[in-house]
Amino acid sequence: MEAALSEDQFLIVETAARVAEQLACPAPTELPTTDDDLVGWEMLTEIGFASMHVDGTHGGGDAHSTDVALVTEQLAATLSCVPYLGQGVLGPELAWRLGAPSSVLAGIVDGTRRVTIALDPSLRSIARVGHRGMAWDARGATHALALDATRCLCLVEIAPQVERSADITRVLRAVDAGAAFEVVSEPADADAVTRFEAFALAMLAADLVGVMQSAVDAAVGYVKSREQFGVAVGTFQAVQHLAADAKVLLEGARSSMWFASWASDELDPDAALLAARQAKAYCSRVALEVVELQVQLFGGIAITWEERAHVRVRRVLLDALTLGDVAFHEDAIAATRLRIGD
Amino acid sequence: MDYRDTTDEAAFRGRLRAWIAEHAPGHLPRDPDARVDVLNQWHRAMYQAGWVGLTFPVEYGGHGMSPVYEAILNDELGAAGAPPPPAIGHITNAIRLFGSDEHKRAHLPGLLSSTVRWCQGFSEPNAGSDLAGLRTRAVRIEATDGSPAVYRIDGQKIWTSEAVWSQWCLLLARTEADQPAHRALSMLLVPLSTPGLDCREIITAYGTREFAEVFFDGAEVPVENVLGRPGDGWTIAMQLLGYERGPADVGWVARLTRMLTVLEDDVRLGRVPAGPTERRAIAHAWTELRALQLHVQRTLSSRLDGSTPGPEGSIDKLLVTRAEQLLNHVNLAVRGAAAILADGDEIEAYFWSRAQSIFGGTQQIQRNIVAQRVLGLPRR
Repeated sequence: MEAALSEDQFLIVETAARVAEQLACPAPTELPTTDDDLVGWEMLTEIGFASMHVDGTHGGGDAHSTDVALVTEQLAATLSCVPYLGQGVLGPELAWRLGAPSSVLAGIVDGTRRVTIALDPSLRSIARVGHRGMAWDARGATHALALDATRCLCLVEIAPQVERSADITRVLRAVDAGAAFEVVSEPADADAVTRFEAFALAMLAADLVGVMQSAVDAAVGYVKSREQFGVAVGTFQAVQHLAADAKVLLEGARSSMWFASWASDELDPDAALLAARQAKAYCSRVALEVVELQVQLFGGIAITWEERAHVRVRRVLLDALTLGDVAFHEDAIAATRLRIGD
Repeated sequence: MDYRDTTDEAAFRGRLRAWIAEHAPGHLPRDPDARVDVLNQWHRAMYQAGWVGLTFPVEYGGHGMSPVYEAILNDELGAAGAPPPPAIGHITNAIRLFGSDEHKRAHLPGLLSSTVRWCQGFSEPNAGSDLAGLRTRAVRIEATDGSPAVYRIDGQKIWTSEAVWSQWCLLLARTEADQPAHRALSMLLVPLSTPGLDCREIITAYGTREFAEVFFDGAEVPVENVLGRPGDGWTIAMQLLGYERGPADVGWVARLTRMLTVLEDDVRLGRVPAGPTERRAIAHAWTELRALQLHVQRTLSSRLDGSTPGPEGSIDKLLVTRAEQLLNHVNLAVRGAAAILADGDEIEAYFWSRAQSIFGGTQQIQRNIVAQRVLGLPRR
């Protein structure tokens, strides 16, 4: 048993951190208002971060799920607006897991075809074609992936206009009930869907951990320099204890996320899904606590548009709901663990 | 990164699981003396079978194994609902790291085999969180008749766990009157049978008797009984606390896992009715407990290179506190009137969960450590 990063994984973290720095969210007053993000997307494709989990025979990077989580975390830690999680991770994963043919998969994996996932309006599960849905993290995307009633994968057109959403780092765009779609796979088996869910939840947990890390770093830096009563406010115990609580929750979240991301590739689908639900539920719950602690540590400045604190809160609010909120996963955990006959 | 057991770890786990199934005592008696007898037998049996001192060096009677074996031991004990292993990690490591050859020879075998019980005399009525302010004095007395020099001890300790059943005490006392606070203390090895020493039980809020007050009124020990050098006491104490919060945490995790497992069984088998709200609350408790388990595994893995526990141990302690207090709220809420009317194990566990944020460094002290020594926030 070794619950620690390997040397290779440390290298991935370092590389991803450097890239993430270049793709960091600009000041909130300069956030991109258009769909245009070509530079960032091309960088992620060239460096091999996009589709890195997809099997090598399909042109993917053959990376371990934990490695993808580490990259996701680093990009989230700079609140990057590049649609990595939607189009570089979850879109390719769903297409690959559910057996999209190479004619469809090749363009997605090499980054020329911009495809993300479509969620139902509750944001809880993959959308059904023929119903209204929401293309998630859709900046620059042309299509989204949804399922039909027999669990066949469908490629659906995305509506052009950007929808309102609390998270200003991700673009959501509608998938209309009457949107044109193309069925691109045979009915998927349940295990393939479970595998996708487990992976996706672990990656969302990684995104949340990244945002939490960013919140702790920024808030700790701030209270070290902000002076009141002639001293840095970070010298006050009441302030220190808020920062300590945030750090403790961040590390509990990271430990959960590491295991879920490892389990995604290593354990059977049901065990991987249980691990992923735990990580998603825990990270969603504590991420909200951490970004709220961050707001308190920043004080009044956190309530301004120009300070990034609200960007973190916004990203947590959307991530926490995406593919099921805390209550949804805890109900599912209860259904699994309290099942009669176990 | 690999959360699976290696071949060796799996073999160890298999042997251990079979041994526990055969040897673990059932429900512990509520009578404290009877409980101690059962625990003593259990710990001695564990030692005989080779399950004690797993990570302790072979040259001092341990097994020299990697820290993950402590995690496996505690996993398996917890899963089987067996009592925890003897909590001797901090004292054995103190003697190993700071004791003379004579101290090691005299004390380590008895500690490891649980034939000699030790307690830790640190806290005082006026020195809890402010441990360095403790007042118990040990004054060096040079004999005039040619007999060896001694330390004469006067003062009072409190919250001394298991003092009533112990034979020795690891005592932190003020020996260097002229030194600043953190260099004024020494660690002394004191037999509890020493004349002038008196133990009085404290009855806890939940009716048990694991704590005591220890009074020193001119109790004398030879000067050779100083661990390390005079004035090293604070340094030794701080290093011990790392061990107390380290693998020992896994022991706590095992106890909490056992508690949740019992609750889940009761609900699954219909012995305790639970609607959707209660079921969700149980899943919440599991989610928190699982985060704690995974975090402690990570802490143990970070120590595979032999590094000693650092201030990050306070993160583990704060996570234990959060999980334990939540689990006990859920346990009481789900069990409802049955737990209140029984005034039994559930109430004891609940009070214990409130103590979790007080003993071994309060929640507030742990937060100070995380803020100042992990996050680098300035001290006033």
